[in-house]
Amino acid sequence: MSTISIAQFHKVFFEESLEGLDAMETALLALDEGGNAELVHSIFRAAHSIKGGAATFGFPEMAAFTHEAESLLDQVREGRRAVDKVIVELMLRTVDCLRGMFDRAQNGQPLADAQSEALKQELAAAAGHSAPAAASKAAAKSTASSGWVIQFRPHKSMLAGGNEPLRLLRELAALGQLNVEALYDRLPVWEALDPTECHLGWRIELTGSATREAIAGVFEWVEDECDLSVEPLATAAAAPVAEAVAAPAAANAPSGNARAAAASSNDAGSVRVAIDKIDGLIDLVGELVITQAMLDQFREEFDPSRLALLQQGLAQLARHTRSLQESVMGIRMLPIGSVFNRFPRLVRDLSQKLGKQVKLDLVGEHTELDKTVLEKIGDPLVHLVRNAIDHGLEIPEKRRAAGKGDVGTLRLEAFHRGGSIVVEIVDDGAGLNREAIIAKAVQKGLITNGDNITDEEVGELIFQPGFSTAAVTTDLSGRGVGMDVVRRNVVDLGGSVAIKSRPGAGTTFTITLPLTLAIIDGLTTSVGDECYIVPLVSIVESIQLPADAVRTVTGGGELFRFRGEYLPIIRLHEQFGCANARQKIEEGLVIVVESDGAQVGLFIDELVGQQQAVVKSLEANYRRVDGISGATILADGSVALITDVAGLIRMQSRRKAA
Amino acid sequence: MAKILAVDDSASMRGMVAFTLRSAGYDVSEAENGQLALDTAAASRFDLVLADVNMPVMDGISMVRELRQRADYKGVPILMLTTESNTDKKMEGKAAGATGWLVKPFDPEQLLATVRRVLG
Repeated sequence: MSTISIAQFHKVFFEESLEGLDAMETALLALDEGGNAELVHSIFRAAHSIKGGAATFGFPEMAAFTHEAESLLDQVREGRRAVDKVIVELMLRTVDCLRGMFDRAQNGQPLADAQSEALKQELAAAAGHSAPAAASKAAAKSTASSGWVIQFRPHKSMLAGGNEPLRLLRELAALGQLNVEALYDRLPVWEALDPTECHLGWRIELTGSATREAIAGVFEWVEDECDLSVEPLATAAAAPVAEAVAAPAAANAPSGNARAAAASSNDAGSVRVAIDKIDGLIDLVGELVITQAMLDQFREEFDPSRLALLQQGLAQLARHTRSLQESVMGIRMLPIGSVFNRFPRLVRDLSQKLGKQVKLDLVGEHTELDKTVLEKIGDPLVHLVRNAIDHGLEIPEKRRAAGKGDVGTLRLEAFHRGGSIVVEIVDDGAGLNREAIIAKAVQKGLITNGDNITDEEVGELIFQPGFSTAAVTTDLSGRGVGMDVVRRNVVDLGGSVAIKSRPGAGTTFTITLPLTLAIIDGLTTSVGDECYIVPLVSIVESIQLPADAVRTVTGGGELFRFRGEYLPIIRLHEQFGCANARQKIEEGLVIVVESDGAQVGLFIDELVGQQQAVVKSLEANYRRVDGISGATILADGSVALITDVAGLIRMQSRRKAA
Repeated sequence: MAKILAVDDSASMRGMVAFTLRSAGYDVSEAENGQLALDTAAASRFDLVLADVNMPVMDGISMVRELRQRADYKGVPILMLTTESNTDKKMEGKAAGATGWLVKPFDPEQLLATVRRVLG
């Protein structure tokens, strides 16, 4: 069966093992807080599965490494060793090390490195023995004979256990020439005979070069279910034969190339979908087929008296199409818990390093987000969490001095609000240091002085490029990315970040994200001969301005007053060069849009309507255009471009600066 | 063709076992823990059961013990898929009623050889 390549199971093995490692980490952290036996069992099982899989799927180094961890966990499981900080720490490092190994395995690189070898020894030392650096099994000695005499008397119960004497005799026959004699001296009288019991025995002469080990192998499963004796046939013992024993795992190891090839085929992204979502889809498609059949009746001839039925059918079709669309979108939705999961570990490590005590609350882990959004939101969240622990939460002494408990609280919460997902990072730390931020901003030349600056504006300052308040950048937050990068990442996802802070009471970061990137709710607008779609989430208001409401400023910019503030006007027809557009401000409409707290007015001809737009990539089909985030197909088949409000505002402020 | 029930909580391991056996023409059902295996085994009778030892919900040893209680599973071969480090598990499995065992790691050929050996 050499056609079955073990490599085809690698992907599943990697996936389940990485999940297993996540579960192991979660359980370890829970154990750290005082856990129970079931936690220990689940940790052991995860390690055990990885070891078994690694050995089976051709990763002997990983199997050997995990074996040491498993041995130690086995001692804990059996109560021979207490769970303490040292063990948890060691196991957490083991989890990290294994993640590294999986990473390398997926890239076809050698698995073991100096670090993993050192950790392996450390695990072995903790378990109270030394790990073999390399697999070196002493060659087992075998004895051979010109033949054997085997006395085999199964216990009565052997048949019930699924072992069949005939099978054993057949296997012996494969080892050499057999001469079998049945022993029926224990056969009961007919009336007492139970056919499910075994009453026979055999005396077998096996001639040939079979080793004692080979014979023992045949009877391996039934040793405890029979009386067995194996004696050399001839009195003269044959010369012992040494048998080379190859390390079993080595035979299974595929070459590095094969692994790399297997890894490269794993690149295509995949989504694991809950069965009920798929069942829901199948139901909906079924409904759609029924509706289609109903509408089909009207194809041949149409009787006006059946108009109501047609209308009903069309309404049904619309409803089903909508549900189907929602369900299909739902397939891409995954719970944010998979991102939240990494935080208990991060928070634990970080707070220990900084001598702070932090309690992490995760709320709304089941809130679902588009897979693409989910993948990209991890880094910004990590940054905000690091930031909260590094800069926001105080050390116990300071907290006590401020009249708060020693333990700071950090809450990560995800929830739905309108058509968006909101993720909040809330700490009960010191809040933003207004003076330090203003001083820094002045020093960096972001503002000239700190007078008349609102708290809101202070919050905005930390999102400016190159801004960092910590006097000395620690190795925790200072990784070369600032809050400006966090904001840019979120804005690129079609979301926004806001900050709220109260001195002494803490800071709240609020990230608002779209449910999905594939479909947007938009307002269709006409500009000359063209149609543009403005995402509904960024629209504040649409207004018609009288001609005298617009002020022209030096440099050609136009401003209008909106809720006490002057906002710039972007004329879309000028921006995108549309012909036949209305020129006079009073003849068109101004849509006030907002992104990241900045507002502008978009000047258009008129509103056409509201619709859901399926976003098609412009880059994939044409090329990137500034101020445009994508394209969509309208109901009449024409193409409309979707405006990139954040991009337009950025372009506007650049123009202002120039 | 003989019907085989493969029980393992690891999807990759179960997948490998099932794929290998199906490729050889066996009719394979899968279960991801002992409890589900008992349910599946109640719904139809299998000619061979391959069971992992360490599983959540219900482990392989408890599963074998319960399965052997059932009249229609008397004499049906049940093999434990166990790791070498668990030598005591082999005997524990046997005591619970297992026919024998297959030591992990095994490759598709070893698996098929063992299954053919048992099913004849």
